[in-house]
Amino acid sequence: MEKILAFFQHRRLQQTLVLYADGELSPNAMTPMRRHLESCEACRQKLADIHACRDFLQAGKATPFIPTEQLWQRLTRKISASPRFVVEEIFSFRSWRHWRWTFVAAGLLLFALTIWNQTSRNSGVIDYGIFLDDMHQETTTANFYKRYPAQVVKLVEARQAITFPLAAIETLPEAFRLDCVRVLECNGKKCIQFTCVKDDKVINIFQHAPGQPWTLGDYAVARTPICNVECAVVNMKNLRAVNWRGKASEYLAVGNLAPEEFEQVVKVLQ
Amino acid sequence: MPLHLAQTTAERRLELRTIFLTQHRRLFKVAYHLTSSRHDAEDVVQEVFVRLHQKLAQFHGDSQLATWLYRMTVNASLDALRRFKRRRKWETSLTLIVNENALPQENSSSLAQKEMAEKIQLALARLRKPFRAVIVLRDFEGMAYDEIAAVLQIDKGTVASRLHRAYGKLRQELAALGIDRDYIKS
Repeated sequence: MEKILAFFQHRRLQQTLVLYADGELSPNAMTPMRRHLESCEACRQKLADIHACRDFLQAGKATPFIPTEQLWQRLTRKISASPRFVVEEIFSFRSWRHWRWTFVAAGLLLFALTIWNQTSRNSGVIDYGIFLDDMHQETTTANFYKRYPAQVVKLVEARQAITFPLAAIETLPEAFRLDCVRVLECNGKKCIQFTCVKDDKVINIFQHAPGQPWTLGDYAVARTPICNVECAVVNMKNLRAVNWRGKASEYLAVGNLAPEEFEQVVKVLQ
Repeated sequence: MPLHLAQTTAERRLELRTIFLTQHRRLFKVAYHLTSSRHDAEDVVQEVFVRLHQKLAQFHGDSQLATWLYRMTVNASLDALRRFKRRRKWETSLTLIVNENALPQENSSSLAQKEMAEKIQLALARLRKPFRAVIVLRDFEGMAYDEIAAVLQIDKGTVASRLHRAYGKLRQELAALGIDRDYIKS
């Protein structure tokens, strides 16, 4: 057993002979190594071999002639000759590091602009009217106008906003011929309102979402001719809105109009 | 000026020139001892400095740069050896290469020393590449164990064990060349 242990210790110490020769062995390991070397001929031999090799390497170490300027000229020619270095310089790690935050900021700005553009297109700018339910709430002219700015929108845009079943409307009996069309929007939801006249009674038909059943609705309407196109001035709880559909006109005016806006709309239609 | 602040091409060239003048001798010697060829050593040094030119801005300290340069030199030299091995048989042509490298020696004018240098190159050339690298860095460059470990990206213990085995192999190769301990001492 002792022989086996001694063998393993011998192997372990032999592995660190180089460190001993270089004085790199820790002080704690130095004493056991010295003691081992006193008793181990093989390790002494090995250590002597290491020293001999070192002496030989030092004695015969060749110092080759180094053509400094020739090397430098070769190097500069190599660097200058290749155009790829210019490209690599532009797209080098340093350049990227230098510009990375600019790229990030530009990306964020672009993203923000895209979002803002989408938002502005989807709300505010194109507001086709109001949802009927909104009318039954405590809405005054002032806050109504703030929330739903009246404007003139092109029918094409209305068609883009919601599937516009004009073809179906044309098939309605004469008595139900369309009097006006409103595309209503409230809280992001859109619906279509048709105003028809039958037996001098105004009938409002609503579709709250594309594909849903049409429903009947009602509110007080005073039809007043205001221009040479078929129009309707809708009065509801002190609110004024104008809707019309002219065969030659592709405009759809909706919402609560201020007097000057009303004039503007009329001017456009005339 | 710190390396990473070098801005223009001219400044970078100047920075490269400064580093070249301070480092190229040591790198050339390492490459020479590893490849046993002056021609390959020149190629290696050029390759290392071309790479340095591309990556100059990444270095923020001299010690980091020196370690990187040594690492690149060792790797490029070992690559050169692999390429060389593919070109022709190493062992048969080595003697010719050593003769081809009969260069003006700065410190070894005597024939005996020149002969020893040739034998060292022959013996080193017969060692496996990892063994050759540790011997060159330790005995020719006088690097500390920590530095060798950093250059070769191995731990200090591995450096010691490689050196131990490398000396054993080198001793065998020297014996095969007819060099024993008495010859060395004489």
